[in-house]
Amino acid sequence: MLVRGCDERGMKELFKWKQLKKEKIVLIGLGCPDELAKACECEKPFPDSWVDGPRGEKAESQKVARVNGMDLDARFQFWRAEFDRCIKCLGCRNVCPMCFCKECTLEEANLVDTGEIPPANPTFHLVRALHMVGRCIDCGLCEEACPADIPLRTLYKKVAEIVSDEFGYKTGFNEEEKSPFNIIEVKVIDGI
Amino acid sequence: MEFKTVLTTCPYCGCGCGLLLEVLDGKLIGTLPSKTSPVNEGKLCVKGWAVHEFVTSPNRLTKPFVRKGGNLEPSSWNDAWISLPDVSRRLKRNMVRIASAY
Repeated sequence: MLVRGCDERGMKELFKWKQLKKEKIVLIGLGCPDELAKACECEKPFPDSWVDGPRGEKAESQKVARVNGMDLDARFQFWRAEFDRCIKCLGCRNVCPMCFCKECTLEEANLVDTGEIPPANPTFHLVRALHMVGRCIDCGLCEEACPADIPLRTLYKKVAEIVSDEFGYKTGFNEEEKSPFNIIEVKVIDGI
Repeated sequence: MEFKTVLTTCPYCGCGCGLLLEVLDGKLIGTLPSKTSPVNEGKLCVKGWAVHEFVTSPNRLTKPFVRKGGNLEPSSWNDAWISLPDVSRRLKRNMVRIASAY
């Protein structure tokens, strides 16, 4: 299978989550050029299984930096306005290579009201963002598929930034490393 | 395991969005927007994303129904066809009325 940096990150996570059998797949890595890495603001625009093609430079995310630069009120208003355009087509979830759950919270009528557009703002999108913890491999398909042009990639890049800062976990980088979801322990508190 | 995609056009509204139907071992399993379609440029609405679902939906009508005494009853194609002239006569009368309004 031909893989770019993002594809490979996805494959590694899918192996990790037991969605694909590693022994059945041979990865052939292709690098992305600087121009593409810049457009994607990609952290690792070449795969470990690199065979051919350019090896683009890591690009910092200016979009996340711009949102980080806003004060809390402005940031909240910004996202509220973006989420307001959502037509709840679920394209972001449908196209996501990491959305393999058989049951999806976004379609759980007890949690997300049906027949309402835009869906609960901002909960609907924040629920999905939370589910992207340790899942989002930053391929950008969600943003490309969004008919309302919501900057979902920026949102999930921010999620990845938090996961990286708090847990030191970079999704899809290391095949052996466990997702933060696996290291969170459920503790029973005495007397409850 | 055999996987293929079939490039086709969305059957819903008049926009005519391009989409790919995903077929796994002869079974329709998903829909993907076509990026090369000038109409939708890799995007779809909620109906477009779900076109693969109605094909195999248990709610889909697979045989003709004829209204008898106010109730829709399953019928053979032949019986349904025989009951058509009546309907088409009524339609024709209405069409004439509409046409004369212009």
